[in-house]
Amino acid sequence: MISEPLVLGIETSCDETGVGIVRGATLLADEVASSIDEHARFGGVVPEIASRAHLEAMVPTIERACAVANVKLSDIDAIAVTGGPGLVGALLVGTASAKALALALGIPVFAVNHLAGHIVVDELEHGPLPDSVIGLLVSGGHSSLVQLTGSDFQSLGATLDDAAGEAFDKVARLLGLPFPGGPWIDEVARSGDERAIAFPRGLTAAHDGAANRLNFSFSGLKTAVARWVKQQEQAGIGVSVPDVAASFQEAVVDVLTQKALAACQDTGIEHLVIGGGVAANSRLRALALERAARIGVSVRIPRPGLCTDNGAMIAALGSRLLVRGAIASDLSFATTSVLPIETVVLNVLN
Amino acid sequence: MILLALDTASAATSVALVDGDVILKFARHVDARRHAELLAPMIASVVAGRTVDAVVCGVGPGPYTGLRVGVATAQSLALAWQVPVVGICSLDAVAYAARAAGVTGEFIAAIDARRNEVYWARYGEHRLAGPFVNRPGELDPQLLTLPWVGVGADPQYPDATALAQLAMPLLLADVPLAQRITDLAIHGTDDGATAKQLGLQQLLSPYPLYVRRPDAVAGVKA
Repeated sequence: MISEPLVLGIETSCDETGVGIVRGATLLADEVASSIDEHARFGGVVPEIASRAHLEAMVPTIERACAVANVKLSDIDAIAVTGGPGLVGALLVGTASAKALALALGIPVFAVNHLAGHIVVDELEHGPLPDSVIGLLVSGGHSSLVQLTGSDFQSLGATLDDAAGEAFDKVARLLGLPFPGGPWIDEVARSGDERAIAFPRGLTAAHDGAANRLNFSFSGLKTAVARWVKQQEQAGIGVSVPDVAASFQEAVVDVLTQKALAACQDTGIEHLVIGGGVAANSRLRALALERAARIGVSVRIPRPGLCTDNGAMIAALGSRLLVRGAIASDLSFATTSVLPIETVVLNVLN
Repeated sequence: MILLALDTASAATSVALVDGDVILKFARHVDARRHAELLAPMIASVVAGRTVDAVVCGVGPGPYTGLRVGVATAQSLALAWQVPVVGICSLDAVAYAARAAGVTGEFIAAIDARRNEVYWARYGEHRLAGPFVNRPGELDPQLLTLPWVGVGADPQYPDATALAQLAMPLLLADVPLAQRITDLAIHGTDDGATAKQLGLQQLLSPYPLYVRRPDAVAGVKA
């Protein structure tokens, strides 16, 4: 087994065409082409527009990554690609490209789980992960708590409705802020009071039960913000956008950090990794560090560029799998919109 | 010169490897929903370690999801092998097959477009007009007097497709499009170019012929 394999990772599960190249756990290139501007006027990602943009960007992004890493495709030891979860039409562009590269170069392809990539990517920035970690994955499409032990991922909890990032987008739209809403809410909230409005914390009451201890729900929060804004407007009272943004954001990150640390306490695991686009939120980073320090849990969060979707995280996961002797995918693997975290590699070779 | 051709514009996934006029290997599989699973293993078995000099890809029009699988595959193979990649209108391949099957004079070549529509183009000696996408009911009645030659009707639901509703469609159920695409690349496209003479430079760029715009509507509240 090669100890420092050169792995090219491809990510096309949503609107970013990402190509990353790693050698072992060293990042050599992380190129991303985003079609986000084309989706902004629709207030969300339009699958057909994303798929068309992926195809336009795919080969140029691979070429750019090779140029930045200063490697030739013929030097690559393995291809890793997001096999799911994600938008199927978008995933298919990346997986078709990955299969073609693997078969043309005569190297293995690993069709991997996008969610696992969001955790493992931290190895590129902060070195090898401890043997056991709790992962909090928060993005526009996902909100989940997972446990990684050795090579095995296990789901501990997930959102029952909206993803955290989705709630950010919807509340931003309500407040007249642009899409995607996350960075805007973060920015506007800086000048607001997070205690101004007591928005609900989903699935944190005693009656929500032990079964939902590590699950999330954000749709009620989104509705509560909408109702509050409407009531203020009907009463002729002006709405302070910074206060609403700060109070909403606080409700989200309060629940996220509470439950992530509950998972650490439940499992006795003292290491937390936060990944996904919402991990770029400055308040989430600050509150997680503050609360974790109190109970002796270490927190690792990749830099914002590695939190949002990218090819480097897929390359990092592929490299980790290869080094640990995982078996590659068969060229006939199918993409899937839904993929449990327990399945790290799709359709392994017989 | 060894050409690898592939087409995913219809319900079939087809791959052909040709050396000049000689077909070295050919594979075809009909399953409208499994282009992505079928294509790469088919290419691996057809190429079987031979050196390929150029890749030719059917660029539709055809249902997008399968079409993009073919185009992304062709582009990436060419990138890895460092060989040229070109596109050919898949309707030209249908027309070529129609002529080979004895259709003469003016006719329409069509590929099922789902949503009760067809992709079509009008042919004489060359492509005269198209490609377009329409519902059968909105076509100029004069067009319906021409012979219609089509592929891509899902064999599981032959009556459900727009293609089946058109005046006397001659359905070429078993057309190996990839093979016809290599023929076109070698002997000339319906745009009048001969690929051999032109070094594959005058064909289409390897991007899908979408014909339709993405149907997204701005300003819809969630």
